[in-house]
Amino acid sequence: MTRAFALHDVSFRYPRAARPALERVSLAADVGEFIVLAGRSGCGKSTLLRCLNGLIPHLATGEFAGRVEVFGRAIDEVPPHRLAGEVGFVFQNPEDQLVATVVESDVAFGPENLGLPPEAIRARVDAALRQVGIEVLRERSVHELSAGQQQKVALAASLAMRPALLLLDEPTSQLDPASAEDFLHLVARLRAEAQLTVVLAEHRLDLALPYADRLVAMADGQIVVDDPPAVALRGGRLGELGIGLPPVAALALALERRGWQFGRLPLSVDELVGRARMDGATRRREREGDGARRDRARGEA
Amino acid sequence: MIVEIEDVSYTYPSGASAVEGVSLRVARGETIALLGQSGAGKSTLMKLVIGLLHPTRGRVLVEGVATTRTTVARLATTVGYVFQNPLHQLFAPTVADELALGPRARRTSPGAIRERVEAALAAHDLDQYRLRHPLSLSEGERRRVALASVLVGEPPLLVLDEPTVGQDALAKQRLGALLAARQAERRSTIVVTHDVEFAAAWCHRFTVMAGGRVLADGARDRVLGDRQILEAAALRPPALLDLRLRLAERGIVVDGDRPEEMADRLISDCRLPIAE
Repeated sequence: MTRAFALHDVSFRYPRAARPALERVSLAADVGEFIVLAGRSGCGKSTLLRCLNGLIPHLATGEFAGRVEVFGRAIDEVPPHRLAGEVGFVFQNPEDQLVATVVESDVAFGPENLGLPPEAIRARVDAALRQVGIEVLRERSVHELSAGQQQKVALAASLAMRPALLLLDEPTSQLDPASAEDFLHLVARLRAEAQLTVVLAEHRLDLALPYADRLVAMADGQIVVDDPPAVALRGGRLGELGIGLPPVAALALALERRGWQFGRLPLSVDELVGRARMDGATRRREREGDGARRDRARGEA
Repeated sequence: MIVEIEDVSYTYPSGASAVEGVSLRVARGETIALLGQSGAGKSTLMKLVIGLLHPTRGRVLVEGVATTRTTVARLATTVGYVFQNPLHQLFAPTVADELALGPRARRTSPGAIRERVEAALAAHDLDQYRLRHPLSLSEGERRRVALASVLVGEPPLLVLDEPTVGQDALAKQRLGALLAARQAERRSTIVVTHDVEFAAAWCHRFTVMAGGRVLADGARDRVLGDRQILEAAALRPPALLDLRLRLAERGIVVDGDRPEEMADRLISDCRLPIAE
């Protein structure tokens, strides 16, 4: 496995802030990994993402310490315009990053600033619109799109830069549940297709965790949990960190505490029902006194 | 009744009909979730209640007075409205000034204003930000200021537009506790939201809109447990309610709606194995 990025003992304090936003944070990911970053608002998720795309230390003022490497190079040695071609960023609110009035101009903005020839720009715009599935929006005004569509334009604009690392800072917070699910599914598909490394800061764990290799939870500028999702959910620390468990996972954990066993922890109702074989017909027969069946059922349990 | 909406329709000047033949009554102490897709008419209906719009047909009464016969300023003393985007309602140079704006507009005495502002700063954990410019705060903090600035006026009816957007679990918990406290004080709240899980946990009446009309209005299980209603409004049921209904279809009855309660029932009622 090739290393995508590594933070070594990274600390950062914003000007005039009483406490550091990050305190001796170390985190590494291999190429192709999908990390979900969780934690209460203000715990340092956004600051960590800003360290990975070079906004910190290149453009932000504040006290920075530690070392950040992206694809094997120290980030302070790579100029921001070069980083922009390797690290894509999608913000919480699409309005914060849409620069043009028409969709295709917005998607073309990045490649244009790389100084690419027009045909190369066109090829990248076409590919990015196709990847995200918004070719039909190409000539639309970004202002008349829904929040979900705007967020897809922001994603396409990031992809047009052909990044290898994609950072998303609560990208679904302005979207309704159906659009949020749609968006995260799209990110997961792109990650598989384009071998992207993804770091996604997200509150909606029920929607994000099915795609995650690791759940990294932060509190007060530090990483306090870094495990595969099922391990992190079972670890019992997320609740005390103020991180809401998906309701179905909470139920599955409650059942585990009472002796039931799940291998992979279910996150959705479909998974739970599928896994638990809670078959009413079977149960009715049990009630009618089908002892043999009951014994077998117990045996399996 | 704090609000009576009587057969109200509203058509925008462009000719687009946003609300059609809606009748709703809001009693004191009710906590109502107003659900529906974007464009279903929820925001227009709320603008009719706060008097920003007047019905093109029917009438809206707030505390018995038609919204057409009073002013937006006067209505604001009864109905507090918290916008989805806090930037739409923050104007003052400091947090403390922001909280004083409402009482000052209502000609409250300076001593009483000071008292209320201090109480609000403490209640909403904003004391450390009292001299900060609201725009220098984080999104979550701005939301708290916007909410506090409305609650300072102690409105009998509070309308929250998508209050859980971008909020973490603990912030949602606090918001829920606020709704419960208001209900205990017999104050009413309408939560306009896409967040079905939050609504299911904290609201007790569920009004679903689609295409400008009220599609359903009632208790949680009747509204959120009805597949047809959910489908028509493009809503997803809360996960554990969904599970309960699906188990019921298979002849397994599980009461309760918190994970621990449900687990107890599943364990005692359902001896089936868990297969991998």
